[in-house]
Amino acid sequence: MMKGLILKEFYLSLRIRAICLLSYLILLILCILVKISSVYGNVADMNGKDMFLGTIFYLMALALPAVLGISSLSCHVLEDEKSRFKHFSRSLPLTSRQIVGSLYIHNLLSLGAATVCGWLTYFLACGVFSRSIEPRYLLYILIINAILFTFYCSKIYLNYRFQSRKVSTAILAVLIIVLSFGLEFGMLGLMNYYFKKRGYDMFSDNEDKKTPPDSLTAEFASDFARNLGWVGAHFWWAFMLVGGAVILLSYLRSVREFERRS
Amino acid sequence: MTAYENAIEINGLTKRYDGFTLNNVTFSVPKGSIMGFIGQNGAGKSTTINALLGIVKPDSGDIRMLGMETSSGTADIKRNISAVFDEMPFHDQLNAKMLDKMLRYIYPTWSSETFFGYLERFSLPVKKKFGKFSKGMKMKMQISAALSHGAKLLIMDEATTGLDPVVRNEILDIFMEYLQDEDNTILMSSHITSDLEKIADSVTFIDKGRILLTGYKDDILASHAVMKCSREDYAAVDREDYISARLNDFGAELLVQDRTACERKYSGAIIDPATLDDIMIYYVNREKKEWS
Repeated sequence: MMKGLILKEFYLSLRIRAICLLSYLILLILCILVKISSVYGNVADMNGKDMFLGTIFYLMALALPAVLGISSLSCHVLEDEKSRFKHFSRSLPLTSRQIVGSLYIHNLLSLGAATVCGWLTYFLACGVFSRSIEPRYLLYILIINAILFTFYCSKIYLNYRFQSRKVSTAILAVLIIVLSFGLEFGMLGLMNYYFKKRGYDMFSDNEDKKTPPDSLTAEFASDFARNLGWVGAHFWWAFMLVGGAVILLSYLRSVREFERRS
Repeated sequence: MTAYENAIEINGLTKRYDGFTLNNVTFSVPKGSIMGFIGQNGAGKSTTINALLGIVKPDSGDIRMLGMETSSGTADIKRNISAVFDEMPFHDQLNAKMLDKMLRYIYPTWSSETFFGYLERFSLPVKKKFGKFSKGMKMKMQISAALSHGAKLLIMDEATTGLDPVVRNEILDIFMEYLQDEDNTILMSSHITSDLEKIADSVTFIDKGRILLTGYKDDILASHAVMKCSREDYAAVDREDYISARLNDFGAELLVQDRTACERKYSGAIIDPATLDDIMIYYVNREKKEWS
């Protein structure tokens, strides 16, 4: 029975999706055209390296799938309220959990489809730019979309809670900014801890000790990537647990708000 | 579904809001009939209907619909009822074809054939967006959707308000057809009493959250009457004999609730039949007793 409401969400997002799909296709074609143009020597490489084309490859292989993911998400809580569909939905043989759940499931399905399209885009990018397929990129696309979904679930809850797109977007933006800064400061702290152990201190007044050599920075980056890989390989379930908890909590709170506002 | 006599049974329904209380509402709608739920704006009609549909949670009271307690058999009940609101609750971006697909999944008993049959009958376009529909078209669309899944109970909240008489008549005809099936029941809230006078079997009057009167329409119309008399004669009328009195330059018009007794008691007075409109207006002014 939830299929009907999932279908409603799909119909309501058709227009915006068509626009996003068109933008995606234009960008895709542009990326392919740049590569074709480079074959004929019309695109100059930067610094004698393949940097420009490399950037275009990453744009096509990772950024475009992310765009697809973002544009696949939609939430019509406020439109339901405005058109009084919310009122009507309470008269349908569906529970509040099913009504709210249909919104979450619709986004999950859309993002699933966007992930598959993202993978196909990656394969296409590898084909066009003559690169070998690396499975880790498929995982990156999946992770990006999983993070998007987690954040979007919070946004759905905020829409239910505040009944205002501006307020929910503002709260989410503040949350993302705080998280970004937290991540940045955390990273700086970690770097400095790493350097301090090797006789350097980024916050020291002593100019000689302040700036670690490039080799040490590269060593840190390599260690960090290795440790991150280790954490990812051994504690992936913890990330999934946190993400799942956020999604579940958002869903349950959305149901509560939906019922409270009736 | 169990056998039942009343499609709706409401007992002691109470819902408190800041500034308004739906107070101990009790009435029932017999199966196979159409009940008019009458009251002025803000009287509590929509709150009662919303409580029936599970849109608002009552503070106290029992509701039974189609022989089932609403608290226990919500999904079963809702599969067999349809709601029609004063405004179309479907998004402007949707069209009839999309609505058919949506509702087909929601109601197991949905009939696309019936739905498109109604659309054809009402001359409604299938692919035109609802945003471009007129008010009459929107109401017809709502009714088409409401009648296409074999609902046993149709609940309407001010569904004919704001429609022109031609469209209203067309819709009332559909309701009469719907009632040809003896298992079907309609509860129709409205403040357009002329519609209810035409089609209702029974009526319930509500004012300020309280039920004033409920029963068969013919009985209510037969017992009530408007008594017309001069100011002098009015002074001699017992206050207990009338609900309220409208005073004008020529005399007074009183709504009496026991027509036969008044005809006997005040033989010189002119006693005319009362309409549902009269009954509503005089009851609404019952606390003032005299008004002009």
